[in-house]
Amino acid sequence: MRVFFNKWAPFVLVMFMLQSGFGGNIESLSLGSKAPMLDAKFKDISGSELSLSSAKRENGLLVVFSCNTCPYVRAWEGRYPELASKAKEANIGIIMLNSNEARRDGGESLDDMKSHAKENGYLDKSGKPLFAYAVDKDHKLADAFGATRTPETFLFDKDLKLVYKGAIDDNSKSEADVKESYLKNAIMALSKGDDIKTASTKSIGCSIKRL
Amino acid sequence: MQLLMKYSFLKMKMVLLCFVFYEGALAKNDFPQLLDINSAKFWELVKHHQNQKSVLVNFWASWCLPCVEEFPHLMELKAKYKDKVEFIFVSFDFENSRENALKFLHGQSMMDVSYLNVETEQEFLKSMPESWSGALPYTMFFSKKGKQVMAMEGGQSKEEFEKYIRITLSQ
Repeated sequence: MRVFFNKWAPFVLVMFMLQSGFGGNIESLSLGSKAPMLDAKFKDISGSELSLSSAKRENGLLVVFSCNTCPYVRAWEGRYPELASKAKEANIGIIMLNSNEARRDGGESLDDMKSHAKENGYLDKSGKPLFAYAVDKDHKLADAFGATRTPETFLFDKDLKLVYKGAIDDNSKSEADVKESYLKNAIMALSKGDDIKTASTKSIGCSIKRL
Repeated sequence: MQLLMKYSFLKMKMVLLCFVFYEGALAKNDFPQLLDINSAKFWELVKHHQNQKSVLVNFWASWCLPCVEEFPHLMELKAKYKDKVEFIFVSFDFENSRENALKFLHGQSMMDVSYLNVETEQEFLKSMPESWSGALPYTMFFSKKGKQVMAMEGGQSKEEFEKYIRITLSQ
């Protein structure tokens, strides 16, 4: 019996891991799935509370998992105001969430988010946020979405079904060298009622700091 | 008094000389070395070790907290399994944090060549397994025959790494 166990245990363990998707990786929300936790409330940098339902507009909703400290967010966030403006033009709501619960005392608190928004162009001239930037307490929404990194985006249609997920575009390092603006293209297609050509992409990012 | 001042000045000069020497050593990239890599070169590198050793690949960045937390475990295991497992480290630091990556590797007493991705992330990700969402750190294990045995996203403990190394070696 012991010989059998010693010989086959690694094989059984490997098979189990392969079945469970390689070492406990998180499963991302599938395309076509309905947005979860629609009525859960999130406190944003303006002090108000909002939900996915309240953030949604006529043509859909864009959810972005972001933060203050990730270099990949820092590389991409200069493009956030334009994205917010495109989403607004397309009558799509937008909400950015900070799920880094394990780093609330390391630059990811609500106060840090307020300062970050002020210093990085998240506000208009009158000091009003261009988009909602809210705390995802205990990373509950990130867990429900299967979000793994920052920045990571999820675009929903008017019925709140997922139509695009992944990267903002194909070049974090240089906006001038972007060849494909995945998210912007998806927003445009969604607003026109066209098919979204690239519905899922990947990107390198900072892992969400879960408890 | 004059002698004391002269001695202090000499001591300051020596400290400065040591500092310049240390910085110079880092600048010259004697060790650790951080060589540029893209996805094509990366897969060539993995293949190069086929039939000789199992391979553990770790994608990391100096600014990534779970990456730097798990790195010492990997360094310990690298020393323990040096004859059986080749450890390949690929950093996703940006060019402007290359020096930080080098300093971190220096602090970890890395005495081998490491790599820094210079391709756009999208290009690099195209050749990577579906299981990698792109979050760092990410670790892959290849058997001696070159087959990918498993892969893990997120920080791991030393015990977990060692468990997966043993499984890889058994393949």
